[in-house]
Amino acid sequence: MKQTAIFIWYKILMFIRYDKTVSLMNILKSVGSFAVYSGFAAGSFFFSVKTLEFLLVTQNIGLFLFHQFLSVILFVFFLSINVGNIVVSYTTLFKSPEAAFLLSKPVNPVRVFMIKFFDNFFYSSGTLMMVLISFLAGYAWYFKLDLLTAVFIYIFGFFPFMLNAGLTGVLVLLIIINIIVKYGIKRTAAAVGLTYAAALIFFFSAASPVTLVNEVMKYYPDINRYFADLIPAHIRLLPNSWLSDTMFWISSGNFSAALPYFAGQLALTAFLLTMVTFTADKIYLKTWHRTVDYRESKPEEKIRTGRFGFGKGSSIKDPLHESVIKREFFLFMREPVQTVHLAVMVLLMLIYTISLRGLANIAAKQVQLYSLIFLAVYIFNIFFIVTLSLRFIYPLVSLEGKTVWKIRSAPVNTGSILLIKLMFPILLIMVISLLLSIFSVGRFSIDLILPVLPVTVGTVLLVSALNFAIGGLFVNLGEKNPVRISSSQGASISFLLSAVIIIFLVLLLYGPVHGYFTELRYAYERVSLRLFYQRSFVYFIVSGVISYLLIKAGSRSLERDL
Amino acid sequence: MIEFNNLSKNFGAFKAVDNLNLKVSGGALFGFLGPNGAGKSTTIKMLTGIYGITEGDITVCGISIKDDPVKAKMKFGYIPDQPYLYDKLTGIEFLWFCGGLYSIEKKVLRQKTEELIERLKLGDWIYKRTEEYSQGMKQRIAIASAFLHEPDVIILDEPMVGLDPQSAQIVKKLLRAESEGGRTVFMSTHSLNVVEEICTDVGIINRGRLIFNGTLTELLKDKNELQNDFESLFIEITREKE
Repeated sequence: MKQTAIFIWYKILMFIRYDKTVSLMNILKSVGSFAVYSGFAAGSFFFSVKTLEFLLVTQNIGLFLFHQFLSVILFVFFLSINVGNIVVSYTTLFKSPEAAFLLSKPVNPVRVFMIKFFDNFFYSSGTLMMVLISFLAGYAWYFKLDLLTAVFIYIFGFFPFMLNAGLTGVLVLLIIINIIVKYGIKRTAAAVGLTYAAALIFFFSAASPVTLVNEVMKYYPDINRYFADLIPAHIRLLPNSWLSDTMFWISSGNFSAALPYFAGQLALTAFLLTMVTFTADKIYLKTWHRTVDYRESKPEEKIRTGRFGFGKGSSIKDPLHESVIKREFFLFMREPVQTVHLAVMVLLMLIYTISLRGLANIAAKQVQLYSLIFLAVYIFNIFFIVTLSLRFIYPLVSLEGKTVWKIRSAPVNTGSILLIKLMFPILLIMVISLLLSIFSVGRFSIDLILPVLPVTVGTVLLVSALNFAIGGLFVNLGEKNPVRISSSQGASISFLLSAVIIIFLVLLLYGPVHGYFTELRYAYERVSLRLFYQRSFVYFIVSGVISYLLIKAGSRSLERDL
Repeated sequence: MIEFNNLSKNFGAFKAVDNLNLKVSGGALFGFLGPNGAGKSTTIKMLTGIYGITEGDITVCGISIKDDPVKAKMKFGYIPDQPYLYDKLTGIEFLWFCGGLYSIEKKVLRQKTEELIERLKLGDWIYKRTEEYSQGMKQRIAIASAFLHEPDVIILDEPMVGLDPQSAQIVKKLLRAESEGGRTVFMSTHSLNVVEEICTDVGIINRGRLIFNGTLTELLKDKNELQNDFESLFIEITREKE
């Protein structure tokens, strides 16, 4: 117990100690960070209030449907935290020098495990916790809940919910590693990927929003009551359903009906904590040793690079470009954290694209709602772009790490090398984003694909440039783990600024989208996309210019600072 | 003090340590030598519990690292080749943190840190964040943290790497004094000069097998018989086993 207290005390001490060098840049960074966080918190608050007003008053979808949609969002949240914890925890629990340091001390391994888990959980979920607080504040404001109730929902509802996602993640990780050691990484990764995909497909087919909307609307206008029978029993057993049900009953003014759901969530947390502690006590040290053995005993295969190798001739004529591009490619492909995470994200996108089937049929006759569903789907695409950029572009500069001396001492311009570095991930994200836009927008209308593409291209450039510039501003050459770099304070700021771009896009596109669907719905002879084209091209040009300026400013400051 | 009994470590088909049997007695300053990839660090990592053991066992002061790792770890202090320090903590805070891990009483911890600051000549650096430290200063803080709980055994993995002559001299002096005071020191190193200068006992490992185990006097005798310098003798011993 005393050891745990010491750990907590020193972890807090380290957390509150930021860069102590007082410089204009550091002051600007701190003030800027504060402004972005505050702005985003206020923005999220108003956004949630306005969304609630729109859905419950303008569209009158009813309390039950609203909370069921919330349940779907919470399910996606749960899986994101869960998968995120699996990926990040592998590095922090099984590859971290701190864990090795602690394991050489007389500290019980289970204590090391739990301390590293919580450290990691709070570090990587900090921004998400803040976002949830802001949304919850908007929710509480709309439903006129008192402060105590809101705090109660957060502490006994949201927090255990997130913790349950994280705990399930590490539990799965402990099992996965032991399976990998036995059956190899490829077979295990395929099996785990398929299991998660199956879970997602199962959830979305069982809790289909299309069916639910149609069923609930049969009872119109009596749509504020609790239609428990419409939800399959196994879906109601999931923690996201408990949380949304908790909120349903509280917003209906029936606090006592919400209590069993709070109790269920907390009981699950207690159960998972016990399970994780018990399992870690039994197998963490053994699993650590197995991981070391597995890493060290991989056969020393001769790495074949084929015609793309450094020594081979290349179609890239400039030797500098060739060296940097090949280095980036090899470093990316040989780092499992990068390739596995990219594969997981692409898989999630595939599932998302498949799950869009039928979504376009909801409210096809209600133009406003239909426009909003279209925008929600497209904005979700943009959200993927933001996530990919944050994960693969933000850490680019920091990942130069301890080898930065080689670039700095070489007779080349640092900025230009970083620009070449940037090309590879931008190209990758561009291809994925364009495909995603074509497939998801095409579900609604083939005509909308062309005007949407300049917006997608502009957003990829803008968000990538933003992540590159902020990643350079908050560079951390001492951190080798790309996942931890993508969860740092600077990354949170980059994410929040990207969210501002998302909100701007909603405002920009709502008019043309609504206009287009109105004309389409009322069968006008000539459906015009002129406004859409105008706005998307202006956005494309403006985002291109801003991206150029951001990259230029970023690479100049890096030339000076690195 | 330290006993390696039929110790083996396999990484897949590769035998990193092969049936190592070795006893390091109390008060010895044991130099563990070997070329790169010989198995020195793997042995030390098994000894400190970071690597698992494939076969055999290691005991420290009679306690098995396999059966009772936490208790065994109380008996030694470990200084790795690349010491891990928390960047945002000052040197003194790092020492207090480590003292907490060994459950040392506050009063004793304060006395002990003051003594080590003096002996390792840490001066005012102790109040600065470790992110500002040089390699030598980091190593000295790591050494101080290993001595805090007055362990019976000190384990060092390549302690002289990256040290300036002043730091190296301080470390050598400390190790010799501790060994003379009865503490066992187990040190892997590449530096033959250091072994010749301060060690009392020497073990040479090559390709996972112990190929020499004896006192420094015995090794020096071999050196004189072969009319070699220490470096040539080491190369000779490790080469003939290839």
